Amino acid sequence: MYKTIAIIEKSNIIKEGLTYLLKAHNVCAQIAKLDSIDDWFFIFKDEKPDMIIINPDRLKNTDLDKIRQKIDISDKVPIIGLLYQYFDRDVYNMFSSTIYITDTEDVILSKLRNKQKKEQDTTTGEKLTDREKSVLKLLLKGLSNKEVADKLVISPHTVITHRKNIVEKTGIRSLSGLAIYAILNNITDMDEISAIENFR
Amino acid sequence: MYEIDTNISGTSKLTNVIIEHPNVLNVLEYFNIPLGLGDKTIAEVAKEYNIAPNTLEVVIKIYCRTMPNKILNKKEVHDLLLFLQTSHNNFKLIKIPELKCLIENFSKEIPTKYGQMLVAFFDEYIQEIDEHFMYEDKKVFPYISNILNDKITKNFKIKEFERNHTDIGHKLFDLKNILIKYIPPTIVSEYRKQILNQLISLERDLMYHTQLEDNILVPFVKNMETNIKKNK
Repeated sequence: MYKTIAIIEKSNIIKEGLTYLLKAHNVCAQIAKLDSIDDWFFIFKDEKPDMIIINPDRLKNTDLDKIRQKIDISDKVPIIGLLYQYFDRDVYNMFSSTIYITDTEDVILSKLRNKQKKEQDTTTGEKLTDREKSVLKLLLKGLSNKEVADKLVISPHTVITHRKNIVEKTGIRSLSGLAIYAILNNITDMDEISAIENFR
Repeated sequence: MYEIDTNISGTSKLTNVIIEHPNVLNVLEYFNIPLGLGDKTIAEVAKEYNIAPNTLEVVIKIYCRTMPNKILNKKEVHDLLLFLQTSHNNFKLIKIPELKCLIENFSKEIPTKYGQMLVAFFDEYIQEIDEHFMYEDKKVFPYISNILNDKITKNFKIKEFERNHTDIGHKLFDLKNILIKYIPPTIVSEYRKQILNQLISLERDLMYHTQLEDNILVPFVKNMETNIKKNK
């Protein structure tokens, strides 16, 4: 099941109708009904939708890449076009998939669920790699990205990528939170942590 | 399952709104509105407790994750400021100490080493959030109070606040994951569950709080700054 789907559409009838359908079939836990993509940022800020269903009419001269940038979602998050009028082929080719208001319930649901399946298949494993563990260990010793890079003979950019992956895999963003994670998982020892004063 | 809709207005019955969106209970708390609401609408409740009706409506809408679609005037922003200040006090004096107490109790049920880490982690968070609130209470809010009286304090601009306004939710998010995923299973204890419940509700509360500051307060003050400058 999806967590949050955003429906971006002006017509209330269409919005409510689609919401009803998604609710009745347990497609997602939460539905955000918005008039424009800017409203997402206003209400949800750092959170991300798992899927966007949008009327191309609501794009207002931006393209999908700009939308992804705006709310900072990867291209893995499907953006579905919601069509009920004629659009140029170029317009609907940019969407991950399209639904038409003339589609039957079954067709709409299978289109949406299809996207979801592919999405789940590509999620990565949770365990940190050895490399990530050594990066984490050094960061907790109080080393900067640059220092870690020098020590492991990799570029600072790679260190940043490792950091990003560590945060994604563990679900922990702060260094002191990661310290607890590292100790609980025997990646490092209490006396090897100097990044956090309180822990010494 | 719930819907995020846009149907809340001044004429909505407050009781119904709360049943749909329990987060609004916090709004009542910070506005000092007692329960026993009967069939009163948002606007009626606002009038009864001397709150600008638009302010109450906008705050409730943010706590229900809907677009406020309203621009507040000076008097209304004044009431919003009071709301934010009362929220700070409530966080500092009630919600966070309660959580700290629960964490201390829970820390006694797990190996000492882990327990100490957990308490140290939360202490670090308390320090962080205290500094955050202090900056707003001592510097930002007084500045805005002055602005509401058409006075500009020198050496400060709301832009500075915008830049410094860090996310205070990160550590709570981390703590949530640590408790759910990483602290090994313990004897069946109420504490871990209670901590999580309170954490999740505090995290949400802080999120709405920040949204009020960033999306309602800051744009208003920016506008005022430009207007005052123009009239000089």
